[in-house]
Amino acid sequence: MARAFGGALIFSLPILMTMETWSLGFIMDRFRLAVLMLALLPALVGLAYYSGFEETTRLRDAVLDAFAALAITAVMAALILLLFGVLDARADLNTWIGKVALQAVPGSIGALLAHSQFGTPSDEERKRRESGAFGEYFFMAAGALFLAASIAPTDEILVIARLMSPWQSILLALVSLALMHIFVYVAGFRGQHDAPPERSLVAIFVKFTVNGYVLAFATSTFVCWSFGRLDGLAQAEALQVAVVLGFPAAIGAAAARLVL
Amino acid sequence: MSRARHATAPLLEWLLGGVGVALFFATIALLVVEGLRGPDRPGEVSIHIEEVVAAGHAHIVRYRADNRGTLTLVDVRIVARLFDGDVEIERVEAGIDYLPGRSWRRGGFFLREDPAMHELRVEVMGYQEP
Repeated sequence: MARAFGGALIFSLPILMTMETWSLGFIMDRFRLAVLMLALLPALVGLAYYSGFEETTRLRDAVLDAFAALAITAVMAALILLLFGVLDARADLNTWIGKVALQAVPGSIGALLAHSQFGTPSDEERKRRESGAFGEYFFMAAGALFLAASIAPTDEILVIARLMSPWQSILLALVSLALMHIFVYVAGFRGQHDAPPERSLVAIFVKFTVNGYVLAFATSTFVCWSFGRLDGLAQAEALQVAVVLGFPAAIGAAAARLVL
Repeated sequence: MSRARHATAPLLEWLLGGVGVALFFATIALLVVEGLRGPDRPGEVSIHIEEVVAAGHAHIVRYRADNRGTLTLVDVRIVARLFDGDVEIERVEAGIDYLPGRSWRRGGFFLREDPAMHELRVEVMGYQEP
């Protein structure tokens, strides 16, 4: 449990100490915040299922672990925000929810990952091999959600999108794609994937890297939408914002493939 | 998965899981209830002067801004003006970065003249929607 608490803290510290996240919880559309929380739940259950607190094999345990991670994160975030003086103990329920709920996204992912990073790896190795392509995509989406949700609250996303020309956006999308491929197959990180010998380089690139980027981009667009980052923007501008947030989402997705 | 682990580990996990379930669904329920309350009422900000404190050569007018609307406002602009009869003798502007719906924030104006000797008018000039 201490490990989960630590994991939650490490992963949510950047947004715990980012001013925009303290107010975004109120500014966000209530339904979109609810949808974001509901989308988080299956991501957590899947993460718990494939790695998690314990060597879970049954779905019921994974569900339990996911909710435990949420509880630990909520308590951790509330305590830290109280300590910072950001949260007032006399505040109304809405304020508590507004300030704590957003921290749950990276925090609870961190609480679950704390095990896969610092825990015993024996059972996961077996588990991972069984997860197949579906599991791979699943990890990538969770990794993308983590980094995208950590960075989307900042105003810099909109500023960067405004500074970039359409050509730079296209270049950024290509760089994101190339980095994903390099991270997973070339850079030599621990957990690097060996390219299956029976497939051509192009086939691997299309099957995992391009699909992975599409997934990361979709996650980025969803996170942008739920945080209201696309509101009032023309299609071209909205696309640019999604590409900018797609960059960390892609890196998160690639890193998740290595880590998990 | 060994049975032994299930026998020893789960109590704390069940407890935490239970707390998580309660927190998660209560949050979702509250968000949906909030969301169903209908369209946001625009910002309805009123300013109450709480006290005037002398500070060196200045006078600090401490105010409390109440937002009775449901919409969160950013960059709320407030102006304090001192009148001697019909003549405006001093004008100071202040801003509130962010004022959530059904909430309040405190702030202050620095005035050179003593507000007690003149007529003080404090008004909200405008705001932005986030």
